[in-house]
Amino acid sequence: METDVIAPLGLPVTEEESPFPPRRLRVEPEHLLEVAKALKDTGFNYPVNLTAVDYRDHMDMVYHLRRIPEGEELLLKCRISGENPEVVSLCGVWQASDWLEREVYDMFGVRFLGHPQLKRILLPEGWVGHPLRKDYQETYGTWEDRDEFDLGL
Amino acid sequence: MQVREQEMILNLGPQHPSTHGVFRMVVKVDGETITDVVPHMGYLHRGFEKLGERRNYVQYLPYPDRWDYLGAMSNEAAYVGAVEGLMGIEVPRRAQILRVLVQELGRVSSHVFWYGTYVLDVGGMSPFLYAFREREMIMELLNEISGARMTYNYFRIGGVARDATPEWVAHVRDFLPYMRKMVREYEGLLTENEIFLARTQGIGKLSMEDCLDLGVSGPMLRASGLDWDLRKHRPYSIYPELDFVVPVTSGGDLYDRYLIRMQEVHQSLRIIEQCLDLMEDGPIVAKVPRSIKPPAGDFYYAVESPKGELGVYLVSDGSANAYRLKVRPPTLINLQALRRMMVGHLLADAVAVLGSIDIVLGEVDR
Repeated sequence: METDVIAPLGLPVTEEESPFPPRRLRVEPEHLLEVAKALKDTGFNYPVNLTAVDYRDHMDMVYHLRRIPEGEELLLKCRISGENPEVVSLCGVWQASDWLEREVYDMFGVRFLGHPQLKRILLPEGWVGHPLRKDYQETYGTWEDRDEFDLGL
Repeated sequence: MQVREQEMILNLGPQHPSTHGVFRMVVKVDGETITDVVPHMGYLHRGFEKLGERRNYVQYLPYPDRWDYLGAMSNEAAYVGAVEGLMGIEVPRRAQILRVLVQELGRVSSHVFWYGTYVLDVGGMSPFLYAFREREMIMELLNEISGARMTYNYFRIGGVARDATPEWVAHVRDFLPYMRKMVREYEGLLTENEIFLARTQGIGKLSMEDCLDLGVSGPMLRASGLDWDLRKHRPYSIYPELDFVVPVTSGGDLYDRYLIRMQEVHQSLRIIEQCLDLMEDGPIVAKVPRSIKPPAGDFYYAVESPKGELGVYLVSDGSANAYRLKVRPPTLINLQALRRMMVGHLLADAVAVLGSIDIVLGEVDR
């Protein structure tokens, strides 16, 4: 159907299989910036989504890109460390990354190297901890020990 | 005597009638000209994404309504679509038609609400009441079919919760010509109104390149000249069968966004009429397993909500709870353009520019 615009570039990415669209590519953190720039130059001009998924021992950064007007989509995944997560910021590639990376920092504690203003965006500035991490300690008792939790009613 | 000038820092919000919710803008002004704006959000952050991990897929159903609570049906569609996509569930035709119908009613409701509050922002008082009078009728229609005026909880995994009765269909049919007449009245009040034109033309311009780089979607993107609507260019549900036009203008300013939203209301009314004609008998929910446990994997499902591309990126680990539920909020992403649009304009334009983005804090903050 469409010609493969990515293969000719010879980028350091590996393809991931999935029963669902879109296409998934995995890249190492060292190559993330060059791959992102190359993808943008090829026409992936529209950043759809930028998020992280915490797998306890590591984290996956997920970048969802789209070529407009062709409509071709791509999920670019990058595996980073779990306890000390940091990755290069893509603010220089797609402007939308600014706030989206701040949200990932806020919720996961991922440090984005080179981000112009990496500070919390949703939680108050003094908040301690990163809630969307799987090891986040909730203050009021977790869902798991809900039966032992005394509501005082 | 010397007159000294200095920059003033002005705080707008978080409690302010024109910030459209709990949103704070710290604006630096030099005289009347805005030199910088720093938005602060998070006052309505309620932890919806973490909640997704703490509830199973069925328990989570009442929550999506509360993201963009002014066009709640689209939120439900995005969430339910992601789960159904992962599980490979096919929604029966009648349910699909009902889903599109209520989503388009939600689009009309959201855009009419935007119209009323936007005119209030730029100084007109009366259209606010007219807009709410019609929006009330839409809320009553949606109340009739779902049981609630705003937080519908109408979609189910595999279909919808309640069927449409012939009376409801008749009510919707009666509503359409009345609404068309009213929207023409709204346009008659503003489209050629000198004051409105002076307040909105040439202000808050956003170029197409900026829109693309910022990930802007929805009416803001189409006002800047890009013909991109998920219903046409990344179609889902029954939209390929429907006959409607996607309005696009090229000015990229506040006035264009107004024109686009008004035209979208007209088109939505057309779509609703077609849905009523296409309605056929059948089940309203598919045969779905007793416990919803999608296979491990990730899936992205997006709908064209009244605000733009509302997507849900769902990561499943095969259990009954989501492993990661990420909401792609069009209002937050569109809001990033705020600084670019506002700096250089006058302080009075701050409210007009913010209003043109059509933010809903429930979605910005989640």
